[in-house]
Amino acid sequence: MMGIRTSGLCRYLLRPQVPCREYVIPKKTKLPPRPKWLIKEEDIEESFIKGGSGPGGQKINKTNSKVQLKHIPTGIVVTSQHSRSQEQNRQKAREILAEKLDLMENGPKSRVAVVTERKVKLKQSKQKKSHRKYRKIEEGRAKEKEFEELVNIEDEIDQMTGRG
Amino acid sequence: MRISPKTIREARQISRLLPPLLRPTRSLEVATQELSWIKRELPKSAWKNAVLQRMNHTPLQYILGTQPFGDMDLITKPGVLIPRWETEEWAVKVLDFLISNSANNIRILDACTGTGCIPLLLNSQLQKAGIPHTIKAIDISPRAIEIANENSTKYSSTVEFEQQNLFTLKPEPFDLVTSNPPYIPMKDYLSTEVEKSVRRYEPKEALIGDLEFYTQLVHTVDDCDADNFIFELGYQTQAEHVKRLVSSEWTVGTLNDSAGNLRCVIGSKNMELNLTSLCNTIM
Repeated sequence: MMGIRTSGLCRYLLRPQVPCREYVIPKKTKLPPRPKWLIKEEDIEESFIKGGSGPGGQKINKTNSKVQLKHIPTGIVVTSQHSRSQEQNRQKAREILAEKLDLMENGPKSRVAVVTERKVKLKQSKQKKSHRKYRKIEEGRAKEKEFEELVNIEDEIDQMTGRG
Repeated sequence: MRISPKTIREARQISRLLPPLLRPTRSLEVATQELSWIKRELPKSAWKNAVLQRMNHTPLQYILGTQPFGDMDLITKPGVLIPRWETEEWAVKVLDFLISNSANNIRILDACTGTGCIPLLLNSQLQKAGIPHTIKAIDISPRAIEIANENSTKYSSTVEFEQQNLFTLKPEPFDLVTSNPPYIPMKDYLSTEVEKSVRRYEPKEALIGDLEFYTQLVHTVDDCDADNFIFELGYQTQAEHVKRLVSSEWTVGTLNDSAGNLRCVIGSKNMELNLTSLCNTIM
């Protein structure tokens, strides 16, 4: 127990001292690379889902070509049927699988996580900017009102004391 | 099977262009996909007309004008058979076999070539792999040769396309003969096994045929002195017919497609470059 606590404390004390760290938006040119190397063909079970059974061949003219990949070590299954081209669907399915494996292995440091983080932060920063803008306007108005009130009060005081 | 009114309502809620597509595709999933491809590949002004054509079972590939095959997008127009995924699958297997065995200077003949899908795939990929080769492809239909030549230009291939009748072809030396001949017997062509869009719109001469084509193909293999062949087929009887016709020096086997259907007969009498290594079953 002590060990864990100490290490937790250590981590706390040694935490990065950059105050606004969570507001740093990852640069688009500095995203982690697409994790293609995680795909090993020998780990994959590929199947083509044609939908329904039948004679096939010249008798049937299928327009779709769904590709399904099963990653044997982890049991992850992904499919792709975005394109009419089986070749493109095979590539796309591999990309999706690589992203999932990357997320599993590298968590918040994976490309998908960083890309989503970037999206969220961009949105947040946009919102913040707009909040800031409106807050400024509001504050400006509030100050004006306050000033007016102050002037009014001063006038009243002046009247009460019989000056003016 | 009838499409349920619920599915039609559901489709209508997504898009008014969707319900007509349920008729040829029979499922909301495929209909949605087809609509997305129509929208992606055609200008907005052509969508309505495309959907109406498709509703009357016109093949999507004639409407869009192309069919993917390997990494190519082949031109497909009425008058030529649309390449099938099964053909793509075995053509890729043959290609991988030729590359991994570095079949240098191989001479290939493709009979009944249609769009030219098989020779064009082999040609472009063998070129990429730096394997020198020559390919000739023939078809009886002038229209098919015209479209094959368009595809050949599109992918700047070195395949020689020629309008020729397989049954009167003059022998030339080749090493490998490939073919996807018409293999649907007349009786089955008229049955419900054949999809409406295929029966109504694709050329009969590319579809209806039986043992006579395989007899001729085996003769052609002999005349050209080839030592490897692969023919697409649809029936066990067609494979048995080929096995019966070739001499005893040939190893003959069959190859299934990934849907589990019998799809090809393969023969070889070459010990070093033996295409029957692709077979599921040796006969």
